[in-house]
Amino acid sequence: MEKENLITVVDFCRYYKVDLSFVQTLEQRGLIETVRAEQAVFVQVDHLASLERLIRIHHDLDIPAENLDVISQLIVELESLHQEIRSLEQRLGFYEQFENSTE
Amino acid sequence: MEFIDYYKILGIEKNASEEEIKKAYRKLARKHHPDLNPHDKEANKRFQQINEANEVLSDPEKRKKYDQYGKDWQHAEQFEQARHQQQQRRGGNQEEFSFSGDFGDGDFSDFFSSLFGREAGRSRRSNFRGGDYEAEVHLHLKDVYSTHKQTLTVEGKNIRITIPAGVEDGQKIRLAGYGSPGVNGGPAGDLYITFVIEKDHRYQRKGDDIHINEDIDLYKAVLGGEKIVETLGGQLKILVKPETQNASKIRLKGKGFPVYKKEGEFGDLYIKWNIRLPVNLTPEQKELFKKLSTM
Repeated sequence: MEKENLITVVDFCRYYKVDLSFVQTLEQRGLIETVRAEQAVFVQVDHLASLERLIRIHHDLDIPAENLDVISQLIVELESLHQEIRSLEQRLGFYEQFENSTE
Repeated sequence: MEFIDYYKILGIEKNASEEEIKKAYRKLARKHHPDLNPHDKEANKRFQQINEANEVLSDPEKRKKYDQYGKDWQHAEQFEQARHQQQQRRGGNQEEFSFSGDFGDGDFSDFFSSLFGREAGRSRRSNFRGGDYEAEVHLHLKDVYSTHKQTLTVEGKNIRITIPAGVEDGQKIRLAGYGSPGVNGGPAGDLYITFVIEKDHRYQRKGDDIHINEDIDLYKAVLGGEKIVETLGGQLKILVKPETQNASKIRLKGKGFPVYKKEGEFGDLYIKWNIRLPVNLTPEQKELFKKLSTM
């Protein structure tokens, strides 16, 4: 993996003002993956958006890091339901449009 | 500029304790948090108001000032004084931002800024990248035979996109920045569009090739002749060879589907002949077939 796509966990924690234990908990719960190289631990830049979301939920809603996996899973399911509804609405709209044009 | 009743926003009494404020904030924040309501613009707005109310009421100094000046907010003189005091404080007293990115102007209401200054609320607020939108565009196969423009309405916003010829069923494109707007100066999310191409009864697409079944009568199959065939690109005059067998196929090179983003390149067209036997034969025709069968 290219080094420019990695941020050390120490820098990450300093910048986002979270404890190292927060990142460790997220990793233990399978919410993030860290990369070990050259005797340092890194987080991937690609994971920053989801990490920021977890930090916001942790800070704003006072959700303990240990419970973020449940919240995260519920958000994924909610997104999936939203997506399904949107898809069905669009599909319905497509057929309604088609029906109107053939009347 | 309207007076904002922060107590009302959090649904608490004016004499609410710190614990009650915290509890009310947590309850409302859970309900309206943008990460939990990624497609609800109203929730985002409401969360900003809740955040602002909490910002003021959870800070004893700000709460005191709000209680003192807030109710008399129309008194411009006092407002000016408050603003002046705030301006004097700017510069050396700012905390580091907690989260990445900038906080754009307008994060807090004008009312808040008038009382506490624009910088006052910045230190504890998080910015949010807007959520990504997912949309599906349903198209007929004929629609993607040629490049065309189409206007989509996504979350009430019209977006005009170019759909290149040859787009595949299930293909996804990303329009950066066309997702949900960011909150507190965060960047907008992206829009992901998935193309769903409805199946066509006549034209079966396999990659860039098109397969069709075409009827020909028995006489043309036996004796050969010309046949006009409708294709996605228009009518084609096909030469049917004598003694064409039922279910036999011919390939017309370069008459299939356009290759995605390769202008002028096309797949092949495969025609499977379906020989139709004559029905309702006249006695004379039957006699002729009998003769043929004994020859």
